[in-house]
Formats: sequence, C-alpha cells, structure tokens
Amino acid sequence: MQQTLSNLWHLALSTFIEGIRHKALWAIVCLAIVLTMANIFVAELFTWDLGKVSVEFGLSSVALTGLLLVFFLGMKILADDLERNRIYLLLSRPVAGWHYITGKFLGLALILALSTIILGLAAVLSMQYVLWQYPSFVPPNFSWLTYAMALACQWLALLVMLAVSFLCFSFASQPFVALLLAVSTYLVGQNMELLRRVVLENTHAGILTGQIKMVMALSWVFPNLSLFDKKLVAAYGFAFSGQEFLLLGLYCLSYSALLLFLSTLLFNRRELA
Amino acid sequence: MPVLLRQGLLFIFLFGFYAASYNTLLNLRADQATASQRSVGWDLPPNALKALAGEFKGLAADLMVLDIGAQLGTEVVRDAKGGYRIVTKHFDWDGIARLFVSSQALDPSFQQTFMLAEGWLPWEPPGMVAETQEILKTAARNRPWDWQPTHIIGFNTYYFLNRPGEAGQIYLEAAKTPHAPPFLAIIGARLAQKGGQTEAAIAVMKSMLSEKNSEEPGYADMFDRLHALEGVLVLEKALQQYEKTFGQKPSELVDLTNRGILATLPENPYNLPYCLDENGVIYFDRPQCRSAAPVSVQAPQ
Repeated sequence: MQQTLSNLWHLALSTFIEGIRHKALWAIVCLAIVLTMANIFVAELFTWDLGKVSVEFGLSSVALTGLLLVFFLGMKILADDLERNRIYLLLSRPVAGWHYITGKFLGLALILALSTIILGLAAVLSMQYVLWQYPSFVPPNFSWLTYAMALACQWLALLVMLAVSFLCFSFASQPFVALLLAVSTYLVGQNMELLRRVVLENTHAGILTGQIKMVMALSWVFPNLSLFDKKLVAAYGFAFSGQEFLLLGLYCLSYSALLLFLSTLLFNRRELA
Repeated sequence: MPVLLRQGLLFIFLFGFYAASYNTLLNLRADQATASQRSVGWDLPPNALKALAGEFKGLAADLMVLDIGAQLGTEVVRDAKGGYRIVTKHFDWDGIARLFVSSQALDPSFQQTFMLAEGWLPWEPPGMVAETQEILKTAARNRPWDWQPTHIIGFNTYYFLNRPGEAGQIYLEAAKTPHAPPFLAIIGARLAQKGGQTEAAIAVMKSMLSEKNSEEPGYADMFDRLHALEGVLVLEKALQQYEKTFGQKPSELVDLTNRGILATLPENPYNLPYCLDENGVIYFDRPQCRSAAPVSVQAPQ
C-alpha cells in the first residue's frame, strides 16, 4: 500500500514538474492572461449586462485554456513518454500499469487545478474592475461563491476530458489519432444533453425520430459535459445548489475512475502486445 | 544586380501583388454588402447554433449581438463638397430579426439582445412589432428579477398596438417585479382604467400597496392613484345606474347629483374635478377632457 502511494505520489509530482517546465504551459498561460485582460475591453463593447459579459468571458477564458492544456500539453506529455522510451524506464521498476496511468492523471489534474486557479484569479481581477466601474450592471443575485463553484465545475469538466484523453491515448496507435478522438468526444459530450433533450422532447426530430434508446445509450457512454457548464449561472447569479455541485463532483469522479480503469486495461494490453 | 536589391525588388513585387489582390477582394465584399446588409453566417436553426457553440453559447450570443449592432446604425460619409451625407442602407430585416431570435436561443437572458431589438424592430421600417414582442416575452420569462422586458411589452402594446387596457394590465404585471419603480403601477393603473378595466386596476394596486411599507418612495403616489381610481369606479357605476334609470347617458357628471343618483361626487386626491368625455370615459387628471390632448406614456429607457 505504501509502495503504491509512493509510486502514485512520485509519478504525479514528476508529471506536475514536467508540465510546469514545459514551454507550452507558459505559452498557454500567457495567452490566457492576455484573454483575461482583454475582458475589460470586450465588456466595454456592450451597453447592457456588462457584468454578465465580463463573468462569462472570464470563465470562457479558463475553459478554453484548460482545453488547450488537456489536448496539447496532456497528450504531449503522454506521447513523450512513449516516443522517448521513458515509459520503459518507469515500468522496469516496481510500477504497475495503473500506477502509471493514475499517477500521470493526478499530475496533470494538478496542473489543470493550478492553471484554473491562476486564470480564475486573473479573471476575478478583471471582473472586479468591470463590476466596480459599472455597479448598476452587476446582476442582482451575483455571488462570488457561485463564481467559485462554476470555476470548480470548469475544472471538473477538464478532469473528465483528461480521463477521455487517457482512454484515447491507451488504444490509439498514434498521438494524433488520440487527439482527434478526444476532440471528437469533447464535441459530442458538449452536445449530449442537447441531443438527449431533442429526442425526448421533440417528436419530429428528423433522422433521430424513434432513436430514443440509441441516444439514451450514447448519453451514458459519452460524457455529458454541458452539465458542468455553469458560466451563465455564475454570470446571471442564478441559483446553483450545493447538492447539484456535489452530484457533479461525484459524476466527474465516477466517470473519470471508470475511464482510467478502462485505460489501464487497454494500456496493459498494449504493452503486452 | 546586388542580392539585397534583388530581394528588395522581389519583396516589393510580392507585397504589391498581395495588396492588390486583397484590396480587390475587400472592395468586392463591400459592394456585395451595400446591396443588402445581412449576415448569413449565423442564419442557422437555434439547435444547430447551440450545437456549434458548445460550452461557449454565451460568448456566441455576445458576438452575434455585436454583429447585429455593427450592421445597424447610420452611416455618414463625406461628400465631394466637404459636407456629409447619410447613406441609405437597405437592411434584411427578416434576417436581422432571425439573428435576434438566434442570439436569444443561445442566451435567453441577455439584456443587450432585447434592448437592441426594441430599439430597431418595432419602429418604421421595419415595423416588426409581433416579432419584437416575442423576443421581449422570452426575455421576461428568463429574467424574473428584471421589470424592464415586461415594461417594454406594455409600452409596445400601448404605443404600437393601441391597446391601452391590455397595456395597463402588462404595466401592472411589470410593477409586481421586485424593485420595480413605482411609476409602473401608476401608469398601469391609468392605462387599465382608460381601457375600461378600472376594477382590475384597483385590485392590483391594492394588492401591491398591501405588500409595501408606507415609508417607501412612491407609496404616497400609488395611494393617491388608488383613491382616484376608486372615485372613477364610483362614477362609472353611477353612470350605469343613470343610463339604466333614464335611458340615456348624462351629458356631464353633475347630472349624477342633480338627478339623485349620487349624493355628492367623490373626492379627487389630485384636487381636480373629474371629467366625462364624449365617449363616456371618466378622467381624474384631465378636467378639460372634452378638448384636451391624449395622454402620453413614458417611453422605455
């Protein structure tokens, strides 16, 4: 048990340090800071609801940057291990396949957490400026707690996407193929809720008419990422219950754990082959 | 020829080629845009737009509204004599209305969308009042904290559709929104009474006053308006009684006391005499109602 925890910790820490040292991370963070500062100027383009525009732009910057980190930095770190044969060095030690997958996942999750916190705080500064400049446009029920919860949801969605990337990486023959699969899953996941509702609520859903079972089955396979999207909730100060937040956390945890488990199975098979 | 000179000439040639081709392309696009100002890029069904926007729906709505704002507006250009002239634009109003609807599909609560729609669509041209009302109703449903969408629906109902009674009811509905300004209830009661719905106006005013503190700003104005409406209601009922008894309408309100229908005329809190116009409508704020100009309603801000 101690050996397992030690392996996971060292793998997570080494991945985190590798990510921090990576130039791509800092390029993405610089882009995000520029985007966040642009928030001030973008909000000025509007006449009404400036607070909403500012909060939403800030959270969107976090989401976009997180996605870039998952798709490029995360995949790059995993691919580098294989291409530079570092993975054999690791697996020749008493490190199981699931240690490797989970340790890498935790390390990248830490990087995502760090970038979300940095970007979230940068967004808070720009938002605070806009809200201070235009107090009459602050939504009546706006709360920083809801904003923090929305930011956390953004991180949870990124974790789910990270787990998806691991699964794609585990069975794809090329990193590029894994990237394509992960991006496609992201696009499907963002629209899973829309698709589900179109089929359930619309009796004239074109080619989807009568395909309720298939769509419902797909909605259990693909991640329902739109559930984590709380940008408008934070921007307008809509109600966001602690219960929903907790359930989202559990959904993220269970779905990610399942994908990591499948990733490990595929990864072990891949190594054996 | 030195290498540097050759490279410089090649650069100038390539840059000239690039500038000419790009400028021609821009001119072509400008000509096409003048023929009909429209943005077809966004012209997709709402669900398709939602699918394309993914988690950036709000940003897409923002961008769409900026696009509409950029298309609309007055263009002023300098003429040959050094003066200015206004360019007459031909807008694709149906396309613009669809853009507003699409923007609302992505973010149904966005204030910029319905305010911009109200600023352009119901006026002539294009006179798209029904479309504007739908946009405003969507906004009202999705902004339960905001009195403005309902207030603007009320304004449009009165100003464009000329239905004062219905407008009054809508104003009174808007007045129920938390933190709504007191003038909404006052205008609402005025219009509802004008539209023959005095009792409904009184009931709403009473329920609103029961939830307010007498210290609140606007309470006294609403209280006066309620008393004035109660006076109007007494007179309306007396008019009906008069007509029933004598088979004709009175020519003026004093006939009600002269012929014994009322002992005295009700008191007007505004210290003005009530007035009966040719159509049988009673006014509490227009003592010269038989010759006065029509009442105006405050436009949305």
